[in-house]
Amino acid sequence: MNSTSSIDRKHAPLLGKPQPLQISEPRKIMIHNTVPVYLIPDNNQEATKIDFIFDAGTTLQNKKLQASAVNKLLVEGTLHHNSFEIAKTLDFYGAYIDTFTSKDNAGVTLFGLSKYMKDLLPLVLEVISEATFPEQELETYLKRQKQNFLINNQKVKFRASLEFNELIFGKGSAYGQKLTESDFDNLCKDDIVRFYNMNYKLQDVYIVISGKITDALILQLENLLIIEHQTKEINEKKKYTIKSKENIRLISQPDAMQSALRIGIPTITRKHPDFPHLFLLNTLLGGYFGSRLMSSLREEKGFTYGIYSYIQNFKYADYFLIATEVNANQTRPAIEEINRQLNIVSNEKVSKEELKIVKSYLYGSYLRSFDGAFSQAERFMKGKVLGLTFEERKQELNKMMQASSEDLQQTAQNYLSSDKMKMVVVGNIEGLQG
Amino acid sequence: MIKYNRFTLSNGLTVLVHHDSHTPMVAMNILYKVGARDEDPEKTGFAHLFEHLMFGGSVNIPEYDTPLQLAGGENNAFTNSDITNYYLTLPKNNLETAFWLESDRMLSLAFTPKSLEVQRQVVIEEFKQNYLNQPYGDVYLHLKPLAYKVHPYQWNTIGKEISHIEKATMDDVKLFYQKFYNPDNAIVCLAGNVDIEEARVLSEKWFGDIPKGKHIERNYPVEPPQKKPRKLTLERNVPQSAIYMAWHMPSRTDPEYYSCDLISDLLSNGNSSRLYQHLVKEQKLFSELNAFITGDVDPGLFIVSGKLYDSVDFKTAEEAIEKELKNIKETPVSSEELKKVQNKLEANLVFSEISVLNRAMSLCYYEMLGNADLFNLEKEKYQSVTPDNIQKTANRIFDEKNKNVLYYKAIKK
Repeated sequence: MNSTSSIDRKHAPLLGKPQPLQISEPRKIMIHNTVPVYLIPDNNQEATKIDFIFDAGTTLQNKKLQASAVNKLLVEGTLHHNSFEIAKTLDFYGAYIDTFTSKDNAGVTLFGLSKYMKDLLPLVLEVISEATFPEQELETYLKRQKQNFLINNQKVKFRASLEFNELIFGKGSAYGQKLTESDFDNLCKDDIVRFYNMNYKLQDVYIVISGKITDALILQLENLLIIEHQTKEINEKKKYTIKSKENIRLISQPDAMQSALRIGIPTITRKHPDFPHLFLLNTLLGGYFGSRLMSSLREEKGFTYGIYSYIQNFKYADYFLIATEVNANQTRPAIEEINRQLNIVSNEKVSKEELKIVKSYLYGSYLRSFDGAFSQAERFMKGKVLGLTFEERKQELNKMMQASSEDLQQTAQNYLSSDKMKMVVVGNIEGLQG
Repeated sequence: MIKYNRFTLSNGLTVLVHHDSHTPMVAMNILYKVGARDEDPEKTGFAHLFEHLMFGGSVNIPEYDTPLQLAGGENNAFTNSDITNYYLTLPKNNLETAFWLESDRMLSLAFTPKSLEVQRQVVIEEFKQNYLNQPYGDVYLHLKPLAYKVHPYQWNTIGKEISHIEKATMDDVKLFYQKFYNPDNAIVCLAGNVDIEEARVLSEKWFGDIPKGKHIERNYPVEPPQKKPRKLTLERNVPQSAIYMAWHMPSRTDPEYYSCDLISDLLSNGNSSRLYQHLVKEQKLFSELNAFITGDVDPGLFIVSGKLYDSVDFKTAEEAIEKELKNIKETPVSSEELKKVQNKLEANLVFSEISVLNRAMSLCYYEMLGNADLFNLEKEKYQSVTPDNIQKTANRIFDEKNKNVLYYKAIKK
């Protein structure tokens, strides 16, 4: 056995060289020459996930809530089964049907034990193709959602996010839609059925299967997918974003203990050559627990429990955002400190040591986010909206690993000027006007 | 079925190794057999405060987070009534960094006054934020002492009161560390892209010479059977009134534990469950209604909690819940319905094994319960529960004398 003196506990063990990401593009097969199916197999798993992704995001809706209501109500009744029967079958097989709606698309996910997939595949296809949207279920859904909205709308955080979304994309734009209470009273069954008929056709779906994949499963999918070829009506050309001169929105909520801050700016696309440097800079500034903003506003000054920055990429627009809730009495100093931190990354070079920490953290987080078939499926779908392949992800990471302090400073100057940021404050806005 | 190897160092440290070459990562989980139940009734909240202090620097390493980030790692920890659990994941070729960091904080902490002061403040803020300034945040601060009169489960992990944290001294902290943070009171599990030999060599190298601790006497006071129902009403400024009902149930290793877990699933796991279908969807008495078990090592609680719609009074709400329980007590569950919750449990066990980190945590937890093999036996134990077991257990647990009820009444400001 070693004695304490024989090992060096003062110094960290040597670190290994970062290995390249071991990921390969999902295999693509076509069903009936129409539906692309992407396979991300891991046959060591006993679980399987099947994602059905439709071009049915909120940008396509004519009325607010239309897209998400259709998506959520798919499982609340079909031509052959009511809501309870669907729930009972899923529970019996210990499986889940999850649904989601985003700005750019919407999806239905079946997740369960591989051995029961054959029993569940017909059900999930029935939910997608033969949903009936019973009036009673729609009514209950809207009532519950409205209740949630009203409760959430008392929270500064929730309001700030809604306001910022409208501010950054522009009032009246497809991306900048803002929910209000009355939206919950304006949706009727016709709206639901129309949106469903137009946007949930199997001829337009793409499918991602991850986890354990058998030939029998693919064959069954082929047999069950009945595709009626119809021409999809092309919606009128959408204005995804609308430029506006409005840069600041201050909303008073006098009783709030915290003010919610959202500070951001439209930015470059995911495929822009400068994106990797911007992403690395974002991580350094507010993208992880050891970030500049977290160290300063939380650890040093105690203004907040947490502060993060993000880059949000959508199909037709992108933005950079800093988000936090701060002690209401410290609203103004907090904003000043955020701006100071933005200026520092433009004015000063990052030390080699800090750069190394951020790169190492990012490398680890890439490895983690691609670890396993299910994580890869998530990454694949996120990337697909943006036209981003796994190969491009690897190149992104390589470019980040090679970035210099100069690169980051230049990137900050190009894309993160504090005086060009748009800002929303909900809470204590005293002394912020003018 | 999770395969693993086990070895024990001469200082008593148990190490489990689970090899999975499909991931580029390794997870390291360390479970210390100390939780809130090990605290002095006058010094509660220590196990949790200690979890925070474990990140404040160790004897040879001034800061924990930065070297881990440099190694591409990520970490976190949690404390409950029974255990304190630390975990991290990192790329496999930096595994030794994990050994270096974790062994140093098992060897000794830095015990800087600053770290104690900062973490004391952070924990006090956490107490305020999550338990005092949060709607419904203080429920368990009241429900647990209502149900437990003797056993340490009467206090929450955060502690009985803020003053216990405020009064913590450096001496208290050091004594707590010396008593519990020793190799013979810990279980390490490595899971992922690591092989047994590598794990053995690194374990010997980094943990091998940490001295073992003194034997720990564990005599937790046994909660006597409850003799009559207990009731408490609180008035709070919250949006909706809520009801909490709690019954004492058997310990984690008791065969009846499995029946209890399945009863809670029959009642409220999934959208086809009884409470959701009958009381949320059909009768519309509750906007939310859940049944769950605390899952503690010593005898825990079976809890039903619900948020009442404005038009519903407590009596109606409680009677409606009682009616559902009566139904379970009087009518044997159909084999189909039982099969449903057993299948769901099996599926959730499989889903929980997807990540290597979860596998590492589970192996440590079951090793603490007695043997990591128990993890692989869980499925079978759930599957062997019969309708008769369910009925008998329901009749034993849902006894009026064994009931604790908390009315959490909404009042307008």
